[in-house]
Order: sequence, then structure tokens, then C-alpha cells
Amino acid sequence: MRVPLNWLREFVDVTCSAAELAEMLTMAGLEVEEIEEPFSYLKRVIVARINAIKPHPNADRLKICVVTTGEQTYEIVCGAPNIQEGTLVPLALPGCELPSGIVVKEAKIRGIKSPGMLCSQKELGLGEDHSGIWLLTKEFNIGKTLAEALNLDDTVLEVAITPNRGDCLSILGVAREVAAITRQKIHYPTFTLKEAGEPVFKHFRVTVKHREHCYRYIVRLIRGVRIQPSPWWLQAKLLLAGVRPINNIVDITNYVMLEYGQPLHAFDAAKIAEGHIIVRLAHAGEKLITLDGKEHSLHDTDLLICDPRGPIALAGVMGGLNSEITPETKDVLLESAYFNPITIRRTAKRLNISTESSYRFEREVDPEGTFQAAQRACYFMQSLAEGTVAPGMIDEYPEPQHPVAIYVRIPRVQQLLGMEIEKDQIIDILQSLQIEVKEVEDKLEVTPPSFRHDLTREIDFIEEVARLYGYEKIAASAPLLPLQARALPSRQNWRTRIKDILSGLGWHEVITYAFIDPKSFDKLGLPSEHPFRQVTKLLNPLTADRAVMRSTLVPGLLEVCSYNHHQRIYHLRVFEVGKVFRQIPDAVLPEESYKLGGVLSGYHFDFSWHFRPEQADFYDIKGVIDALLQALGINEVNYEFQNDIPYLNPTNSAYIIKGDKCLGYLGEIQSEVKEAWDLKRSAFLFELDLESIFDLIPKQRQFKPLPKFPPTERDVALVVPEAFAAQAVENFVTTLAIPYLESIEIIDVYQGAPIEAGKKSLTYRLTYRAPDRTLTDAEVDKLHGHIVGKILKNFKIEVRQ
Amino acid sequence: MESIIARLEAIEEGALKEIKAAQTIEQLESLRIKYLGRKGEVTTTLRQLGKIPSEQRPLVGKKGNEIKEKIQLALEEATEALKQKIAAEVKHIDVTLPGRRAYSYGTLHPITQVMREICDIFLRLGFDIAEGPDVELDYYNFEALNIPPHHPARDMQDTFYISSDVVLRTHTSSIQIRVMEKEKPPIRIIAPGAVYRCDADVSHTPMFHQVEGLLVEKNVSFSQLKGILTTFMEAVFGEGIGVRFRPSFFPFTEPSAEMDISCVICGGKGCRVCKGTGWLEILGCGMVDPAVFEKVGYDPEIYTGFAFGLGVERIAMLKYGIDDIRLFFENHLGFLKQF
Ligand SMILES: [Zn+2]
Repeated sequence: MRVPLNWLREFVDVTCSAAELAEMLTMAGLEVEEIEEPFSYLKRVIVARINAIKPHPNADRLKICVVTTGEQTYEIVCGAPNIQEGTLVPLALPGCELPSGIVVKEAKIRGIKSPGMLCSQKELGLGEDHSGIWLLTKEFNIGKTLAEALNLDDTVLEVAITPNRGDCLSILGVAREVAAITRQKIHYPTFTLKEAGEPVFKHFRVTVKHREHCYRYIVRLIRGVRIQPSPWWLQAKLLLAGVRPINNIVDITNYVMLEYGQPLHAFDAAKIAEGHIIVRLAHAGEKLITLDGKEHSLHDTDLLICDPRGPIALAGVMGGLNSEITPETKDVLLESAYFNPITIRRTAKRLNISTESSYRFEREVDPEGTFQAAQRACYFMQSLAEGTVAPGMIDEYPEPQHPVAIYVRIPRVQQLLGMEIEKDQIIDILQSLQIEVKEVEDKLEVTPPSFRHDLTREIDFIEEVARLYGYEKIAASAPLLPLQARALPSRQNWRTRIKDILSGLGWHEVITYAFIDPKSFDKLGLPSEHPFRQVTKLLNPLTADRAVMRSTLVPGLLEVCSYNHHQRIYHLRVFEVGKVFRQIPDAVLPEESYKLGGVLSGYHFDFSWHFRPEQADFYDIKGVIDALLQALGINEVNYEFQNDIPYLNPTNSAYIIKGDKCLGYLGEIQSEVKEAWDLKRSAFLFELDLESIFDLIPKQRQFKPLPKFPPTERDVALVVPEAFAAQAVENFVTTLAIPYLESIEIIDVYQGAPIEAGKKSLTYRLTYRAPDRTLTDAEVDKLHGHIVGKILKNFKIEVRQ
Repeated sequence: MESIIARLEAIEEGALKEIKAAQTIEQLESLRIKYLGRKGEVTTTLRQLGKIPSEQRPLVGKKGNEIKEKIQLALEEATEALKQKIAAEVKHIDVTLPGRRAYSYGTLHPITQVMREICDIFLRLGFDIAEGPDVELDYYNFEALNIPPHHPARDMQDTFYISSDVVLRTHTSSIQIRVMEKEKPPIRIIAPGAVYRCDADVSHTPMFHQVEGLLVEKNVSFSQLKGILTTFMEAVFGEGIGVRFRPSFFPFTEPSAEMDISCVICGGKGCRVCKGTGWLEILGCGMVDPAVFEKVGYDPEIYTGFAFGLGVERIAMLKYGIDDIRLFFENHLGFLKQF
């Protein structure tokens, strides 16, 4: 809401500075977002008279105008066709920044100095006329700045009005707030109407068919208007308020709307068939062309203003083209109504039209104000458009709405705000807001003014007390609540822990958008029935590439990887802990669960003088998973070859299995996928299902006494086929449950001579230990021999000689 | 007497010569013993003082002490010089070369860090953490929060819809309702999480993060709301931070307030970031609206409460001086490594 200060001053005294007023309003809940002087550039534009016009020596189409501002004479180069000696013109001086962004400078035009510029109305941002220099009428005083001469030297406050305060969407509304804050009386406009001719109801009637959508409908008739531009003072106020002047009738309706907050509509009375206005809901499919020239197909929830032939306006939103005011209009039928806010909002939303009118109706107008606004507009049509106001007024207001009185309890005010505020102070504040207050024992019976729809409950009045008392004056204190300590939800705790573990391992956390491109699934090569494709779709995505909720973290991670590769960052290891969504058929809400994903590209290690920069491989990413699972206390995890994850290289990837549960997968990204995301280097990724992992984290850890006796180690090298899985031996040995065998681990993998082609050698180290004594070599040899024998037999392999 | 003095001078000359020639610390030590030890040459010579006339003794004694000190000093200097020489000769490693580590430290996303900081402060104040779904029923996101369909307040948040009654939550306030439906007062929760709005520019991303707080008990007041939030801001931005509360509107709180902190860029003098006001909007809060309590079956005559919601990105931007919110979601490694 734009509030020109001089307009505000018509209703209330403002003695402080604009900045102080802005602070005052802001601290009362009407946040001033900007203080501006929209036409300050007009202070560098002076009303000047053309004394003489001389030819330009170097250009036929240019002239040199000798202009005077009274005190000073300038020679200005000008090319406009309409200049004449003796006329008044706007002269923009150097330094003036015009709305187009052009800064006027002392320039040389075809060799002649021109210390300024004569402007058209359009160049000054004051109209559409660009046919020539704006010729000013004789009323303009030579030598004055245009800002002064046009009443545009005013400061405007841009006030953000919250949705509950529709009553402040007007100059008077803001003035009421200022009056309340400063405890002043407001000066309402005074004017008198002269009525003449036949009364309005002689020729017009109104039928409101759906009262629940239109609570009040007032019509007045003004005959014999002359359509012309509004007087400048009115145009200036509209311009300051950010509304474009059109013609006197339209300007008057806008002016009164800005002044009173009541949207008005002017129909060309001659265009209303049978003089009959019908307010009704549209028939489904009915059509109306609105003032902006757009045709709308209507729903049966849209409220229309009609005549017996059909719709003539979209109620509260926009007038119809067929009943528009034109230069030929003689009689005006003026509408001032109070429509149901929900009805207006539904239509405005559906048709995606927001007008000054619909914006105000959605936020509720004052049912009593409709009358005053109509009177005010009639007055202006009589005084500014030569109209004659017809006697009488049609006022369809079957159920007058009166504000309801309720009680406010003083102790409740004090308890809720947490302060000792006196009863008298409360009464004073409420009365300053034009609320009627009656004392009834320790309660106050309060009745809000008709324009305050938002005051219906005790709490609403308490807020008003706090607001005008000043939030800043309420002292801060500490709540008193019983102490209670509850553990963090364990899953949340583990998510925190996992992030710490991974960042400790040198990984960087990323956060990506939860919505992804639905094309991702094709890019990943997923089959049509893949569960990742069971996505939750947005009805109104911002962009097509963020249109579905992610069912996997992979697309987001690939995007991060690609983005960094394009920034020439190739060595990266990043992870994300994030929610994924899975749409379950027939369920209202998708299933949400947490996943952990990561992507790695570059080298084994960070670049340093210690290591050769060697390309990262599968084991780099596996090492991280191993470390993470170990830190979480999840042991005995198996890695199994996979060949059904289309975006991973099958020779270089695996499922992560614990028992019969798949925890996730890891591996190298397929080259097609690499291309689809335009990755510049090969990359590896993993994705783990955190919900399954949380289930596996041991609730409690059990201490094992430290061994008292030394261990004995024995190595065995096995020659196995190339495709043999090293982990199989470990798993097999574990199932043997051999006493005193503490651990088995692989310590060497070798391929090449003298091992025959197609085979490899795996060396395992087995550690033996007894809890109660030192094992003898003979004992260990026997155990070891036994185990090796079992392995050889089971896998049908040989020991390396 | 002359003979003793001559003797001493001869000793001095010899000692200084030998000290100069010494190559090792051990040699110097033996020279010390040789000259200054209990049986050393200077010591034994001075012992002969008894043999000279008593009136000459002070003079000889003085001379003796001077020589002793001279030798002592020469020994110390030589030892020090030798130590330095030895140190210079030893081959040691280059301690300035970078140490060996497979990876430099990893980092947590700045949003995670700020979110943790916020949650930690409230956890210390006795709040519990609550969570809820990102894809939420219109009921929990709007209706139960006193935002009926066709209410202009819906314009305050541009909503992503999944269907006519399912949305991406526009705030974590939806969690309030889910918690209150399940539990009875006293309630003291914070609800961190991602939220979504149909909006994108330098200061808006379609996804961002919020922490919502809710406290419900008997006799909770607006004054206490101010107390808790002031404490919180001081914990995040330091004790000297100025705060102010001004009236605002949220459908689910009344009275509602906007909390501002004094501009962390200009210290309150007024700059581009704070649009010259010296204040920065930091969070929205208010007393829980009785209509919300009625939705969850709490008696607003018995219980009162307050709620607040703050934007994590906003706080992170102010804390770290980040001027473009989109950086959080681009995940440039150079950005991530700064936190
Ligand atoms: Zn500032």
C-alpha cells in the first residue's frame, strides 16, 4: 500500500519526519518497507517559457530554443515539431535522472551546446503522450520546479499490510492507525451532494440472487457526465499512489477506493439492458470479456453482475468490456458493494487475476463504508465531471451486519502478556482504535468498529492492547517449567553421528534439492517397473527438471559431481544424508525414509608429495563403507556382485548385504550415465538405506576382557581361479567355528608368474590365541593344518608351493 | 708474589688457548676440571696464597678470581658455540614439508552446522526434537494452523501441491499439530527440517530449512516468549546483539510478532543489507492462537503457549556473510570447504 504523506495529512496531523512516522507504523505492525520520493527527479525539471526559436546551423530538423525560467535564460537544442514561441515547457536540467534511466547532461548536439532538455509527458513518466514536448497550460508558474507545480513533491511510504488488516488498505485506514498511535481525532472528508432529476429507482432496479455471496449492493446514478482528463491535483495523487490516471470517471472510482478502501465500479448506464442489474452466480461455461480484453470461461462459483442479456462484470474482480465507460458515456451507474471475500478470492485465484479491487474484497471491506464511498464518488462526479446526481439510492442490504460485542477480562490480558497493565490504560488503547468500551465489573464489554472484521475474539483485542502498548515495553522474562530430560531420538542421533564419521574420513557433506528431474530415471537406465519410478509428483513444479520428489539420492549427487567437474574440481568425495520419498499406490502420503549416498572421483588420496596421484577405484569407496559400518558396530557384512543396477559398471560394483538384508550398493558409474550427467572423470558412488542400518546398530556394546596371552600367527597362500571371491574363504572359516582361531584376514593378492594364467594367489593370515595359556607351536600347527585342509577340500583349490 | 701472579697468568694463557682448540663438549668438560676443578690448576695455585705475606693476599686473590671468571666465561662461550656448531652439522628432516595424511578434513554443510547450533541451544533449554513428514496433508500444513482454504494468508506462502489436499510443507509448523495431537502439555519442542515454497531468486530457493519451536503450559506469556528468544539470539550472535519485537500477523499465533536483530553488517547504523533501518528480520513468533488449541483438543482457557519459526539459511547467511542463498544448494567444493 503506497501512502503519499500529503494525502495522509488531509485526515490526520503528522508532525514528525517521514522516517519517524515509518518507525512508528512499523512498531505498530504496519511495516514500512520503503520511504521514497518517487518524483524527486522533477525537482530538476523547471517550468520555462520559449522566448525565441532559432534554426540550428548544422541540422534542418533541429531548432535552438531560447527559454527562460524567469531568472535565467538557456539555449536548448530541440527537435520536437510542436514547439512554439511563448509556450510553457518543462526544462530538464543536467543531473536530472528521468524514469527511463537517462541522466540529462550538458550535451553538444550537432556542434551546439545544449545545457538541458525539453521533455515530453512520457519522458517525464507522467503520461503516455510522446508526440512532442509537453506544452504546459498557463496556470503553471514559470520558474517553479515541476515537482512543486504538479504537487508531486511528496514522500510516499510503502506499507506492507498483513492479510488480517484489509481495513488498512486505504489512506483513511492508515490515517486511523496513525490517529490511534498518536491519540488524535481523525478528520473525515466533508462534502455536500446536490441531487436533481428523476430518482434512480425510476429507471433502474437491482436483484441480488445469491445473498450469501453479495451482502450489500448500492447503486447510484449520475447523469450527464463529461468524460475528460481529471484535474491535475487528482492525477498527481493517483500517480503518487502508483495508479495510472485514465479519465475522470475511472480516476474518481480509483481515487475513492484509495481513500476509503472501498472498490467502486462505474457502468455506462446506457449499456445496462432494461435498467436491471442482477447479481448472480455464473452458469458453468458462461463467457465474459473483461476490460483487459480477455475472454473468460466461467464456473458456477463465479459471481457475476448481469443484466437480463447476460454478464456485464466479474463481481469484485473486473468490469466487462460491454458495459465499459467510453468517451461517449453520458450517464454513469455507480456500484458500491460488499462481496463475500471467499467468493471473490476463489474466482480471482482460479482466473489468476489480481486487481486492486479483488485484493481489497478478499481482505473484506467495511459494510458501512460502502455507503460513504458511494457518496464521495458521487460528489466528485458532480464536481469534477459536470454530472448531476439522481436522487435516491438503491441499497440491497437485506441483513445489515453489526459488529458483535464481547468481553475482555483484565486478568486474562495481564496473564497472557505477562505484565501488569492497568485497566484504564487498556480502555484508553481500545478507545483510540474506535472500539466502544463498557466496564462491566472486572470485564470490559467491547464492540469493534464496522471496519475491523479481525476483532471477534478476546484474543484479538488482547493483541490490539499489546500492539498499541508497544511490544518493546513488555519486559522479557523466563518461562518456569518442570525440568525434564529426554534422550535425543536415536535415529536423529545416528544421522548426526554418521555425518561426523564421514566428515572425519575426509568427506564433505552436501545438501541437494529434494525434487529431481523425472527424466533422471531414464538417464539412469532404469527399467519401467523399477521402484525408484514410484515417485511423488508435484502439480505445480517451478521447473520441469524439479518436478518429482526424489526416490534416490543418486541424481542429486551426480548433479553435484557434474557441477564440480565443470568448475574443474575433479578430486572430490561428497556425501548426503537425506530423505527419499516413495509413492505407495492408494496411500495419501508417500513413504519417507532416510538414505545416505556419496560420490567420489579423482585420486586415492588428496594430492601431496607423499603419494603418487593414482586414480581412485572401487576399493576407495568400499574402504569408506567398511570404516563407516565398523564405526557403527555393524560387522560381518558381505559384498555380492551385482548385475541389475543399470547405472553401475557390473564388473566394478556390488550389493552390500548383511544377513538376508540388502543395505545398499556401491560401484563405478556406467559410462552412459557418466555421459548423461556430463561427468568429466570416472566416478564411484554408493547409496545406503539408513533405516535398515539403524535397525542393525547394536543397542549396547559389550566389553570383552583383553587377552592375557600372546597370539600366534600362521599364513597360508592359496591359488584360486581369477574370479574367486576372497571373502568366501573368510566366511567359510567363520562357519567352521574353530576354537582359538581369533581372526582371519587377507594380506596379499598376487597375479602373474609363477602363478599360471587365469589364476591368482590369495594369502591369508590366521591368528590363534587361547584365553588361558600360550598355545604351543605344535597345537597351532595342528589347528592350522586342519583349517587349511578343510579350505582346500571345500573349494577344491591348492596351496601355493 | 710476582711468581704466583706470573704463574696464574701463564695458566690463563694456556687455558684460553686450550679452550679455543677444543673440538668436543667432552674436551671442554675436562678442561674445566683441569683448570677450575677442586684439584685444578687455578685452584691449587690459589691454595698457595697462604705462603705469601698477608698484606699481598687480597691483590693476588683478586687476580686469581678474575682469571677464574675469565676461564669460566671462555668455557661457557666455547660450549655454546660448539653446541651450535654440532646442531648445524646434524642432518635433520625438513619439518616444514606437509605432513602425511590421506585426506584433509571433511566438512559438514553450513546448514547442518547452523541447524545443530540452533538445536543445541534449545536442547540446553530443555526442548526436545520432533520431526514430521516433508510431504504433508493440507490439514496439518494449513487448516489445523487456522489457515482455511481461500484465506488470503495462503498468499503469504507459495505452495507446491501434490494433490488438492497434499502439499510440500511450507513450514515446519505442521509438526506442532502432529505433536500436540499425540501429547499433553507441558510441551517443549523444536522441529527442524526442510520446507518448500514455489519461489526462486537471489534470496529465495524452492527448498530451505526451518526450525520451529513450540512451548505450551499453564501461564505461558508473551513476556516469556521475548525472554527465550532474546536468550537464543544472544547465544547465536553474541551477547551484544540488539533485538526488537514488532507486531505482525500469522494465522496460527496471536499476538504475533516479527523479531528483528540489530544489523550484523553495519552494527545498526544502516546499510544496504538492512535497507538503512539498522534492523534485520530474523524470525516470526507469537502466542499460539486459541483456534489452534481447539483443533488439537487443548483447552485455551487452561493452557497458553508460544511458537516461533526461524529460517536456517537466513541465519547462516548473516553469520557467515553469504549473499546468495543459492550457493547452499550448488555444493561447490570450494564453498563447502570454507565451513
Ligand atoms: Zn545494516
